[in-house]
Amino acid sequence: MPSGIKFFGEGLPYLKTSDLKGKLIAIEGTDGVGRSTQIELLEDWLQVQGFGVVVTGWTRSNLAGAAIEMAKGGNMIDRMTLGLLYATDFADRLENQILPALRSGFVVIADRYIYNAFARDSARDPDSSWIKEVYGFAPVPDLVCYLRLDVDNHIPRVIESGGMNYWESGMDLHLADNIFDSFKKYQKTLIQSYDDMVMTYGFEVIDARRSVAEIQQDLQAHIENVVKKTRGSLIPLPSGRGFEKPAKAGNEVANLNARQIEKRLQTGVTQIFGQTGAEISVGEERLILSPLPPPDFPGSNDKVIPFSSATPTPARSPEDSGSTNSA
Amino acid sequence: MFFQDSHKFPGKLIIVEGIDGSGKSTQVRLLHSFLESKGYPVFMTEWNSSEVIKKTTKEGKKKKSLTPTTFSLLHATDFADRLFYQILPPLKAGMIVLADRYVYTAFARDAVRGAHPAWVRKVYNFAARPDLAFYFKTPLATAIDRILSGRPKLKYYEAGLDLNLASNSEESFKIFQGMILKEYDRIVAEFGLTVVDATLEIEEQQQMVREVVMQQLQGFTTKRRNYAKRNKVFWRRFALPQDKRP
Repeated sequence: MPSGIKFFGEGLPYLKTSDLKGKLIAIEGTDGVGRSTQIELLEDWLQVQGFGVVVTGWTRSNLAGAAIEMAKGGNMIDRMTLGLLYATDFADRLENQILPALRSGFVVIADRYIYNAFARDSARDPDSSWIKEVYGFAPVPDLVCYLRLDVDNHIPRVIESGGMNYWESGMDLHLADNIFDSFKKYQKTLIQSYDDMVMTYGFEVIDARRSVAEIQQDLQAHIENVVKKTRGSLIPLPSGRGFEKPAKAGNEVANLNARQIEKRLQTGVTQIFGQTGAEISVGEERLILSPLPPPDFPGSNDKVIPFSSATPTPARSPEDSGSTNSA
Repeated sequence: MFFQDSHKFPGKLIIVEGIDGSGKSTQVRLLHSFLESKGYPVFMTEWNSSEVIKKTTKEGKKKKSLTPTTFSLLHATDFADRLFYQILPPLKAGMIVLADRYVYTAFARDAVRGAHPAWVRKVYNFAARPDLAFYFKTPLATAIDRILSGRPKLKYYEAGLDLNLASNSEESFKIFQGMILKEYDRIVAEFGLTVVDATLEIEEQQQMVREVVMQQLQGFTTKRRNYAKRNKVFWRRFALPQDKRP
């Protein structure tokens, strides 16, 4: 059966997956390497170019998110139960959020993907392949960027940004009698597990010791390669976003005037989403891809992803939008 | 631990399987009394009863937001929690554990819902293999009569309405249970479950069950010491913090 995406194992036999046109990009790395900062910048960068972007965070599902918090709070849950709870959370986000978004042609950025679960599990039982088999239903991402930071550079950042907690320190493993030493040992093991996966799963390794702008530049270059394959060339970001862009992209921008940029933007988005716009459900939230610039953009809570249009038609309503994708 | 191999614990794990209305719960309760009367230390556990995940499952079912995969994984989470906190401790302590439904329930239901059968088996690979597994084989019509007469309204997932088999919940339930029966037949052959004819009288079935169990328990000598019995055993030292969702 021809399929738009590959799975790690058995996949989802009851779902049609040959029509997924979007791209799935995973950003991996231990806690505190700056994933969320980078993802925010990437989201902006992609949206400016007219790409619909959905960001999905580990343990953020409507279904199991609260149960995970509760289970962790009790500190009385074993490795496998917690592993399955994470898998439940991921499955819920996959089927109700990621796949519908991919079907509508979004770029989906996963703030940590299943490799994070592999690393956690291998730190607890290095010989077990069980968790990898559990995630046999997960699609293989189009790109995995691994933000790598060594433990010595990592620690000050973690302390600055809220400190160490029980699970991030692997306290359940009893590696040391205090949280600092436990954290250090545990994170070292995690980094080692990630390093071991680089070759197996083809991660793009990104040195996260550098500045935000430098890391962002690397990420953009990798993502551009992936998105380009199906979408034609991207419109580079106009300057003034607070970080440097690759020189090549800068030149290209200089050669385009505003009208040209807007036109390419419009065509690009129309190619992706059609004239009517599209609507998808992400958990309980409804995302609307509108061909109209919404009145309250930017900063609206509506999460409308706009692209420009000359016709000032009245605001769209969810009911009359063309394609729906209820999970 | 691997499901293919028999467990190495001093206790015994005995489980019962069958579709809703097959009478397996009645039989396992009778077996429970019997074993206790013989002086064996017995611990009983039911499918889908762990505290960790109860609310999540309930909410997912209420919102009808479960997919075949999340349905399967939620039950696996529930099972894992019960395995490590309810099933393994008594097994390690040399007790007899009776389980009303075991992994085979998931193998049957999840496969019918569309999950890959090989995947479901891999997910449950951490389970302890039972020493004895009874399957109460019931003709579809008998089971459905028992269920429909005893229950005012079928629940959404119970009736398999998520599978879009029929618009009417009774009709859907019948088709769904029929599919599960077929899947059980496959599982009985694959894992060598002991089949009990559930159309026989209750006491006849129980007689058979007891004979098989006593045979299995030959040489198993652990008896209860003389101490007061609590009506519920708590394996957790600490209670879980309460789930504060409304």
